[in-house]
Amino acid sequence: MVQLPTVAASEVRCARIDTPLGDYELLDFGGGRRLERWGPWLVERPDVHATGAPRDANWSADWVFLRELGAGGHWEPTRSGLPSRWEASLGGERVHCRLGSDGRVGVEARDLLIGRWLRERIEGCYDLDEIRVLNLFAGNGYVSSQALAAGATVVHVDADAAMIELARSHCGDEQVEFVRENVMDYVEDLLRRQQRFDMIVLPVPPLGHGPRGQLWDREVDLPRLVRHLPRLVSDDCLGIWLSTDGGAITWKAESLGQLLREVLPGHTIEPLQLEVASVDGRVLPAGVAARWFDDTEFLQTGGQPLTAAQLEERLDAHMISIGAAEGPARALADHPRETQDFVLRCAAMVARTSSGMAFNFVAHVCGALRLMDEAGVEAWLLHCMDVYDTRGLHPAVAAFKEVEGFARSYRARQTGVAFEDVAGVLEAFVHGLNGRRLKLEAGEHPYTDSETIFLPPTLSRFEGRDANFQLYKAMVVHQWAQTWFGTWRLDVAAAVDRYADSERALACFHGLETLRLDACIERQLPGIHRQMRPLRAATDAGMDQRWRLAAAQLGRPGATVDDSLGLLDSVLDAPLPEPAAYQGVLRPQEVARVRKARIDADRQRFRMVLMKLKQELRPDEDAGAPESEQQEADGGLPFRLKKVEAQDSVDGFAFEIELDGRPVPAPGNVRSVMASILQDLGDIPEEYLHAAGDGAYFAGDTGERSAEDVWKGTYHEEGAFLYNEWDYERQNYRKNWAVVREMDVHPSYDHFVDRTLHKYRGLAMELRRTFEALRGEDRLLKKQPYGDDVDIDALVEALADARHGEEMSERLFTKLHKLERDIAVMFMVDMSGSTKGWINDAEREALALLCESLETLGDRYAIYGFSGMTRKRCEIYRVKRFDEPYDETVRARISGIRPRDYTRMGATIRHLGGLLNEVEARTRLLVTLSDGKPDDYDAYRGAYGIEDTRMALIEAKRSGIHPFCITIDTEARDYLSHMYGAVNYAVIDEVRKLPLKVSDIYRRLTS
Amino acid sequence: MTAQVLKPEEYFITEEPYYEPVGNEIEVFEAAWDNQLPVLLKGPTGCGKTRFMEHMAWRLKRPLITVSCHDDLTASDLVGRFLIRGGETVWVDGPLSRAVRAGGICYLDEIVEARKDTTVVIHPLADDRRVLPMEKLGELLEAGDDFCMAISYNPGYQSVLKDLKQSTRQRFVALEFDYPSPELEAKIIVRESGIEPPLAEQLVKFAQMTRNLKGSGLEEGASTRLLVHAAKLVKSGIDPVAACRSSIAQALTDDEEMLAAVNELSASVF
Ligand SMILES: Nc1ncnc2c1ncn2[C@@H]1O[C@H](COP(=O)(O)OP(=O)(O)O)[C@@H](O)[C@H]1O
Ligand SMILES: [Mg+2]
Repeated sequence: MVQLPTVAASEVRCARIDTPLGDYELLDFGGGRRLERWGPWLVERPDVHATGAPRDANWSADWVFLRELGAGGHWEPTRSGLPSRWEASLGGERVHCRLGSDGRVGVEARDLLIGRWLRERIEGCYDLDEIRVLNLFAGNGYVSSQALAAGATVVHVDADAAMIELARSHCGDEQVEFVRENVMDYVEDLLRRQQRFDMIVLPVPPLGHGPRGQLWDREVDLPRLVRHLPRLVSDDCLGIWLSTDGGAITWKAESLGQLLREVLPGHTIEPLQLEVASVDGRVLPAGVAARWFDDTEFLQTGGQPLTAAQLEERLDAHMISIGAAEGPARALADHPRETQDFVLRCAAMVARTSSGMAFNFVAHVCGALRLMDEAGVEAWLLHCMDVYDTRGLHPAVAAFKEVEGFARSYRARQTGVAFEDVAGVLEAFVHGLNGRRLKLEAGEHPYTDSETIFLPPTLSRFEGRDANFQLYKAMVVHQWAQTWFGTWRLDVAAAVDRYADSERALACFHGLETLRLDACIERQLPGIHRQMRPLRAATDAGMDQRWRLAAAQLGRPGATVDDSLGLLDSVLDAPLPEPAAYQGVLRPQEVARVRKARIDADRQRFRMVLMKLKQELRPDEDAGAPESEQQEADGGLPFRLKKVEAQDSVDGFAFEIELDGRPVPAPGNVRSVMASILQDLGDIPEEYLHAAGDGAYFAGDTGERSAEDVWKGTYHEEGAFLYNEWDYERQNYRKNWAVVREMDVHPSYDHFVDRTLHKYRGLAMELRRTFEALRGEDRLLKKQPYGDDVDIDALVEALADARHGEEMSERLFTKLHKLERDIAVMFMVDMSGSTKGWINDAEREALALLCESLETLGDRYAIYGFSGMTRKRCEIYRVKRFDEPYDETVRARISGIRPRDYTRMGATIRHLGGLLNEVEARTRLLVTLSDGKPDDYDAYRGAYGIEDTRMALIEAKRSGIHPFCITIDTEARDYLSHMYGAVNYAVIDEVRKLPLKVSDIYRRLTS
Repeated sequence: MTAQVLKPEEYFITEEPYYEPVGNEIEVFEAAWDNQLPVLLKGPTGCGKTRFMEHMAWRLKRPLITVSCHDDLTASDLVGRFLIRGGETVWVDGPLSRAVRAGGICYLDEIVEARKDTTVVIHPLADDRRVLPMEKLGELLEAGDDFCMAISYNPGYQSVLKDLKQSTRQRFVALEFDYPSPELEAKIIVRESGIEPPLAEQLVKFAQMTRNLKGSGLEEGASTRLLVHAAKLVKSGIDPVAACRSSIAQALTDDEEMLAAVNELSASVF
């Protein structure tokens, strides 16, 4: 799980209202009571925060609020004739003062702070059409009126009728909707209606009651309410204010902050201690709050660059330790605001994955910005994130530090060509050339080990992309030519070792070989030779006489590598010509190692394939039978090799295999081994047909495990599949991110299917009838213009018509119309923990009925369940494979489907989509049965999971699969249409209808 | 040449169709014909199967009736059906019946593409009964000694559905076709298109390259037919690389990357 940085107590700042403020003053407090002036009147009321002694012992309030046990309290005038409602001015605005039954008058300090923040956020913003504010536990209307004044529309929710009345008098009726409801119920209603807001204000009370007595208990309900917030905020949400009166130990500012961060990570969280200062400067606490907002919002500060301090404050939100961002913030302060915002945005994005990564990013970003444009910096960051995903933090930190190298190749890529971008074409190109299949890989210098060609990651030697691509191609051809025209049939390492200066000898040898190979290429691939010639212009221009002589000799058709070696002495002392641009280097030791391993393996493989061939050709002579010939007795094979002419081999000949003096057709694997041996040795030694001693030993495949090595040491990956996952924030895939494993559902032999069929016997029968009608049966079409048989009825009719002198119809035939169903369907069944109970039962029943229907239809189908926990444990449970019959075991597995953990849908779709694509069918359907959104224990929830799932579905669609989702999440419509497209899902509103509906939906889908 | 209407079973090929034997296929076919055995031609598209049949029809002096099978082709399409003419129902033979009556060669090209029920009518013809059941007429049509049935089939398609059933396969003498050897293929191209031999050799070399790519990006390499097409374009003055691009590369793949690679390959040959 991604570890979110916790909101620390040290981050808490104070937000204070200083009095006097207009007509309002906090005059004194202490002993559990406070004395204030609202306009002309003094009021005294209880306050738990008012600890210590008051400044003045004798207060002379006009109104005093007295608590009564169990019944709140009441206001007592100290004189007669006092008003209980009046108005006061608060620095320019009027507020209604009313003696509330809760002991409140006017507005609370908290309301003032909320009001200020709302105005600040909303007024600075002009790019949202209509800003909607949700004010929960809204109270007297002051906050709502502030939002209205700033230009927003407000939904004002409060349970108390009198409060709503008061608020209405504050705000009027324009642009505001007053809702008298229990907050919890109302919020759930909003979710159902998919309402979202640009700002949300929640000054939550410790306890409260809804209009019908529903209890609000902060300790229980607050976390629940906060968890709904992600689905209430709009995409450009300006902020959330969450506050509560202090007093409870559980609710400190930082714990409110933490609550918000957990559900809505990635934005700035500001924990606040609220307070009011009295006229004599003493501070009275007024509750705690946490604000959540995106402070990279450019408009909020009018485009002015942020100061180092502002930057640090913003960056701190993403750091593990306070103070870490100081240096980077200082450096960043010199950049224009756009750049600062870009960095802040990136930092927030990285912080979602790791705050350590975020730190490293900001630490190096200014350096990166000096070297590259923003697109480059972003590419660099994504590169580092990839490294982090696949190899962990330390290599990623190294990648951050290597920004210069990255910038160099980035710049090169702008003008030049990146290996990655052309690898596909080059690889196909080199596969088209003759000989052993060569792999291509990026490496520092161009060279080959005789199986892989290494090429520089980027080429920018020339101006245009095309010229650089041609250079790549020339490099590939040169390296290929070494393997095809026999450079490595010589033990080059040993040959040059005989020279005192073996390095120079190697360089000369390479020069000579290049001359020879280029001549070969000219003869065999004149087109490519023409393209390569300019790349060796410098070589040809300044060539010494001795080199020219050598070139003439090596240019002759029969020249071999031995001729190059023979000429080495003659050019050793002559000045070395400029190497050709595509020449690269020779690594004789590496070739020797790879080549030796291959020769050994080929020898073994050759014997293996011949042994198999023998068994095929003479099946009666099995292992125990007496050997007929002497050579077979000592392990030899009864084959002979015969040289035959072959134009497409480099030596002009190949081998045919003879058995008993007659040529036998060699299967593909035999031919390819022979070709490989021939390419290495120029011959197939006779001894290859004889015993090699350890005939049973086979040098099997090695390598090819890089994907699995990714997690080596931290996680056991044996037998797992790795899939990429889409990170919408990065707009990029996380490589090999989800680890998927297939396992069998544990069968449960309890006649569940039989019982289900019995339970729904009426329905089952009806389904069978409908599906039978759908089966790929012949239908006799009558009155066809042509067909297989005469339609006697039509004919009689037509003849009668003709008698009457009418025109005779030509539609006189019957025709058999074949409805061939060619459908393969994969059912993907949610086995997450949330399906526990009813839903699981319904799913299993649905499957039981469905299988019955599918068997009637004859469509090919498979059923897999899915669940798992975190990306490292995505589990896919086999219920029925495509090639499995619907038998007792499958029925027992259906019964054995049990709810498990979470739903990481993307990986499942990728895996099952792959399986589905292996099936040959005209139509491929992937049907998901689910109870809700993609969700996993780690960050795979909310938008991330939905977006990955959507991407997986898009991939599936591209590969020709039709995805469809059947769900019982009634709130599913908003995200389902986003994931599946508007018509590719069905929502079933009652669980018990699932078994009835699924077969029906399938029928409609496929007919 | 003026167009004239001929019924296929009455059409005898009089001029020798050019066919370059690759192995002993001519002898085998003749032997099969002598023994009234049906023949199965196996091999990738464009390697000369159709041309071979034309050649054999000429050689054996029999009419050739070719049916290209497709997925709507039913047994009635082969055997025949009733039609109404002037108020009367009349039976009209299908191509297979006509071939049997005329003692011709019936060549069912790409047999696996046809409906499964077509095999029902070819089986009795393909074994030693040599009869064609004409159910609608309630008749059995017995084949004469001259009648010959040949079917073709491309084993290259990876599909299980497109596989020939054993029961069908085992009734036929199988002839395996493949691309001719490089020398032969060049010779064929020269003969078919009239281009110079060196150019034909280069075309064959390029074809070899695309055949190397079979299974790693291409479903099939360039067939002899495509090479002949390219050669004809070259003969009419099109640059060889351009000719390969439009008549070969585009026919082989739609994939951008593969197209680029194939074009690079052709550019390297000429
Ligand atoms: N052995 C051959 N002799 C002469 N021409 C051939 C031969 N093989 C292929 N061809 C050429 O290839 C073209 C395509 O062959 P075709 O018989 O239509 O292929 P298939 O029927 O196997 O798909 C022919 O028109 C001809 O030009
Ligand atoms: Mg053909």
